[in-house]
Amino acid sequence: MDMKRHEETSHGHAPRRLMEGLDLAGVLVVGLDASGFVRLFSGAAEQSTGYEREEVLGARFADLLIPEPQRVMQGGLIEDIACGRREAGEEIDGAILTRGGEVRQVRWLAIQAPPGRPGEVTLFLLGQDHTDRRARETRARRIEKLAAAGSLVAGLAHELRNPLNNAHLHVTLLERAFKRSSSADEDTASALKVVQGEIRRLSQLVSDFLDFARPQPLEIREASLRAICERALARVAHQAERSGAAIHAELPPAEATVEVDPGKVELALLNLLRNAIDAVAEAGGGAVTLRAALGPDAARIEVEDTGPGVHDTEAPIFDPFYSTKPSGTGMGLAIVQRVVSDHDGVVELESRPGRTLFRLRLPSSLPGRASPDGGRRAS
Amino acid sequence: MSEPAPSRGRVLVVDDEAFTRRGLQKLLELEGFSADVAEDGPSALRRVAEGAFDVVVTDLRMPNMDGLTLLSRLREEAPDLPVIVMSVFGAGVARAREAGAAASVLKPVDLDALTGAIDDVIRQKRGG
Repeated sequence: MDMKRHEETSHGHAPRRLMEGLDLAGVLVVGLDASGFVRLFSGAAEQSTGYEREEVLGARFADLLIPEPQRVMQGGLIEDIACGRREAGEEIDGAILTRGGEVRQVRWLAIQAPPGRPGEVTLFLLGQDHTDRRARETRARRIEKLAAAGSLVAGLAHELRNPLNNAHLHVTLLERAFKRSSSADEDTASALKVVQGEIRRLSQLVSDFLDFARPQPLEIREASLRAICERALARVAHQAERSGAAIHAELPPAEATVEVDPGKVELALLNLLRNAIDAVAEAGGGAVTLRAALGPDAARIEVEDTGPGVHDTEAPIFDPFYSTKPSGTGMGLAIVQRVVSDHDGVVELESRPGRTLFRLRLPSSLPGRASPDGGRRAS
Repeated sequence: MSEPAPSRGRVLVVDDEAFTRRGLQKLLELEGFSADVAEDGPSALRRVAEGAFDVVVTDLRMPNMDGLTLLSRLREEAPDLPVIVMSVFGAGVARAREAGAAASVLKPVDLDALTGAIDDVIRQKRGG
C-alpha cells in the first residue's frame, strides 16, 4: 500500500504503522473536513468501497458514499458532527455505497477533532465493514453445526453401507432365481422391485450423506480441468442417454490446469449434471451443456439445462435434505455447495423456464497455499 | 439351466464382507462369468500371482490393505490386469479412477452396471 498519500493529507503526523495496523485490522478510516468533504481515505476504506483514494478525496462524503435512502438522515448527522453542530454520540450504524453500486453495512465510530485550518479534518470516522463478517459468521455457524452432526451421522452411515449392499445383492439374486422359477407371478415380481428400489434409495441417501458430511480435508493438487469434466461426463453418459438429454461440452484444452481437489470437484459436477439431466428428463428431453474455462483469478464451470427451471429460486435449495424430486435425497446441491465453499468459491444460479444455469467459480489460490506460478495456468 | 459354455471372463472379487463376496460371486456366475474371491488385499495379490484373471473387482475400504493400495500394487505387479473399484463414495470412486482404476461402480452394486463395466474393460484389454 502507498502510505505516502496518507501523509500528504491532514493527518500527516499519524504514525505510518498505525495506519498500516488499521488497514490490516480492516478498520475503515475516513476523515471529513468541517464541510463534510473527504480529506482522508484509508486503504481499508478503498478496499471496502472499491474507490481509489484519488476519486474520493475532495468529494462530499454524503453525496458519494451514502446510499440514496439514507443520505438525508445519515449524511446530515455526519455533516452536523463534522462541523461541530452536534456532539458525536454513540456508534453510527450506517450503510455505504460502493463504486459498483453495492450497499455495504458499516458501523462507524465518530471522533471529533478540534476545528483547525479550512480543509483540515474535523471528524474521523472509524468504521467496521460487517457485511462479509455477517455472511461469514452465518456460514461458519452452519459449517460448525453440520460438522458436529456430520461426524456422528457419518459414523452411522458408514456402518449402514455394507448391510445395504448385501441386501441389495441378495435381493438381486432372489430376483434372478425367481425369474427362472416356474411360480413367477407379477405381484411377487413387483414386490421384489419395490424392495430393490427402496434399498437403492436408502443407499443413495447414505452415500450422498457421506459425501456431504464426512469431515475430510481437501486434497489440493494440480489437475486438468478438462479431465475432471470428462470424468464427470463419462459417469453420467448412461443416465443422459436413458433420459433423452443431449450433452454438449465446451471444455478448455487438456493442458489447462487448476489447483483443486479433483475428486471433490468432479463430485460437485456430477451432482449438477445429474440434476440437469433429471430436469431435462422432466421436460421430456432437451440439452445439457457443460462449459469450463480458466480466467485470470478463477476457474469457471457452468452446467446449463433446458429443463423447466428452479421453481422457486428463493427456496433453500442448497440445504441438506431439501428436494423437490419424489425420489431425491436432497443432498445433491448441498454437496455442490459444500465442495465449492471448501474451495472458497461461489455457486451462482440463474433460472427461468427453459434455461437453468449453475455457475461455479473456484478461485485460483486458496488461503495458505502459496504457489510460485500463480497456481493455475493455461499454457 | 445348462452350464454357460465358454466363460464371459474370469473375475476376481475382493471384498472383506463375506455376504458381498458370496453374493457377487453367485451373481457373476449366473451371468456367465467365472468368479473367484479374496477377502482382502494381500490374499488378492496372492490369487493374482497364482491364477489368470481378466479383471479384478475390488472394494475400497478393507482391513489389512485398502482398495487404493491394492490398486497401486496391482498396477506395478500386473499392469495389464484391469481393476474395477466399488465404493459407496462418489469421491472415493473419483480418487480410484485417478489412481488408474479401469472403471468404477457405486455401491450398492447394480448388477447390470457391473457386468457392463466388466465386459467393457475385458473388451478393451483384448482389443489392445
